[in-house]
Amino acid sequence: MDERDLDRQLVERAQRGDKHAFELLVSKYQRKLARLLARFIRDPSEVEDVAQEAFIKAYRALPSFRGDSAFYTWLYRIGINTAKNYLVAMGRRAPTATEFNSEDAEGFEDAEQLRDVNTPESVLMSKEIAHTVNNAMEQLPEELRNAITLRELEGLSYEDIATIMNCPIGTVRSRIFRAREAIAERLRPLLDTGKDKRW
Amino acid sequence: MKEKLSAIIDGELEGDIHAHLGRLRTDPDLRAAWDVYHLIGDTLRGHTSPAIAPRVISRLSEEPTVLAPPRARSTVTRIGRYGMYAAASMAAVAVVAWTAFPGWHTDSQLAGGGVATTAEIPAENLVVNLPASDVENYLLAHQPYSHVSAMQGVAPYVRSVAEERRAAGK
Repeated sequence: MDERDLDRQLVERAQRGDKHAFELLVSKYQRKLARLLARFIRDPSEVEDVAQEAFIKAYRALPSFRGDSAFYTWLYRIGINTAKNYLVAMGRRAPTATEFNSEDAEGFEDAEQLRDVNTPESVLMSKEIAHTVNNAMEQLPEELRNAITLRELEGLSYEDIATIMNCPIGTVRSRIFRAREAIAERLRPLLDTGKDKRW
Repeated sequence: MKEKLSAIIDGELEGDIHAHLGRLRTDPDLRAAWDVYHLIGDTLRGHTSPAIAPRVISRLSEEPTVLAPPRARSTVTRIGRYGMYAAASMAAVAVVAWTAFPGWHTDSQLAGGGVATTAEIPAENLVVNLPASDVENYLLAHQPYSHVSAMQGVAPYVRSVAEERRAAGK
């Protein structure tokens, strides 16, 4: 099973009437979609509105999703179309096909070109989360830090990480989990008390 | 269980994950872990944005539930598809063979176009239909230049041996 299989299974559950499964997909892709939309919608509150609309449109269109493409590729197209319609309705220039095409969907990682979608009141929370995650990363034992870095930043499979770290795949799985839990432990007080629950 | 969830998120848990996905629905701690593990990954990649999920989830509760069972990819469908692939492959092989070995079908055309087995043809007729020995020798000598010998592998050789034996029998 890979990530695409996981998404497919969540979509199939949602298609059978399990809204909760679709909520998991929203939780997974909310930040990725928002950053995509922020490439051409400047106002952060508008980005939120368009992203929200795109997710609702995707939910309504679930019966037409046949799984020929990855879920995010499909969601990406809906997001772009929603943004185009929004910009046209607002009398602003919509992105052209050459600015965005579906091939970008899978490798959309160009952070340098992205605008920050934080609202002024959420900047502090955003910085606190980033600061907490970075601090927690620094305090991780080296093998845990390396494992989660290879997974989250390099996108390597457990098998590849096991080869690089010269350890069994089960150890990789355990290290990544322990790293996540250690970071999550530091984040939880922040997330529980934050006015803007951003997770 | 959270360790398995961590592996599921990475697409690295083998086997059926339906039961685990079902538990995400009923276990708030597990669901919170799903959210925070994704938040950690996004933060490490520099993906930060305002929380959209709570608003979407709130709106989803007002939406009519989607009921569109996915198209079943049943075993029967799969077997049928493989059968079609196999039939197409065999048809392609047959076409290639038919084209590459014209002797298989030109002989019957020369004999009158009818489908006749050797059992139905009297032995004396077979002898009568054989070409004269000088023609046979000519054909054998020029076989390398024949259009059938360029791409038919061992077929010309097989025919040559048969013709040589026939000639020797005479």
